Amino acid sequence: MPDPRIEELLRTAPIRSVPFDSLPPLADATPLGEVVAVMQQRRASAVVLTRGDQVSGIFTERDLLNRIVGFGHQDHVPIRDLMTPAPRTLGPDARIADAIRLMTQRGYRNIPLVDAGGRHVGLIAARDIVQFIAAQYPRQVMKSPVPRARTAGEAAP
Amino acid sequence: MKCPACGQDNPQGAFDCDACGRDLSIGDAAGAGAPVAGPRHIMRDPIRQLAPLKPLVARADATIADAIRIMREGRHGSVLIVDRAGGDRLLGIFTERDVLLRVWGSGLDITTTPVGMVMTPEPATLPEDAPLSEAIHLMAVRGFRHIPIVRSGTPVGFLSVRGILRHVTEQVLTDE
Repeated sequence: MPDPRIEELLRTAPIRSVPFDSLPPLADATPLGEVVAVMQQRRASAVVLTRGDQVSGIFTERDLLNRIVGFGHQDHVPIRDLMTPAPRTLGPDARIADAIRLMTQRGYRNIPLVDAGGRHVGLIAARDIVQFIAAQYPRQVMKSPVPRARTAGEAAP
Repeated sequence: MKCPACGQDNPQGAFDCDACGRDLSIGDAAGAGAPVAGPRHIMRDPIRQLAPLKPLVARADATIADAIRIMREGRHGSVLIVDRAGGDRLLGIFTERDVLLRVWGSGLDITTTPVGMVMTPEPATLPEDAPLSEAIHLMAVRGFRHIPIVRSGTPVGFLSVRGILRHVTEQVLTDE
């Protein structure tokens, strides 16, 4: 029998109980060069784009890999011409299981979170959920031996 | 929270006893000293059960552009870098994150620069029989998103964050 505690938690807990990225979105008119500079500064793997007060797209490091590098795009091209438009979104009160299902069945690694009016709330990543699951297993995960010697600096989260 | 089985003083809210591994959430019904029972810990599943994906591989003297093409065609966000002598010893890993943080805006000519110059050398790896907890540790605590699985120094697979999520949910989120 699998662990009922984590099952219950993932089924019933809302996405807002997982620490997620709530950094401000960028306007979808922002030039590519500026968007990538922001991603580098934030060390973010994705950024949410908005038009007016509505979430209009998402741009990820996978998009940078697949669509941009080596294709001669110029830094001044507006990101709305390069982003994934109208991404699937969820509300922060949707269940964690809903986010997981979208991620594992549809292949999304990042899901923008919006309020009932379609306004930006944040961005939940697959990695955020893995970290949330890890936090439920402090003995097994946090103290798990690692195969390579760690320095004190690396050990800090 | 004192463990009813062994008396270890655990942090408040801990699910399991740090000393004996007893499940602290099931109360004292089983009585002190009872063997650890109850749910199987998915954290102990060996990672070979997760059906690790076949890794994308490039030689360290391949160009950055070659490595990016391999990732695009293989539809993965990482490529394992092996030594250039035609051997298969794992030297490093190059990921889409490295493209964002080390290649973009660096001025490097991706058509001539060897990927070995921008890869992450000596990445943390796991053997196939390592438990899931170690993979999650590397991801959640140390922040790695792609973990090469090695056998005698040779990459035979890799785990991604989504692969882990898929396994955990297949085990705990049955159909509703």
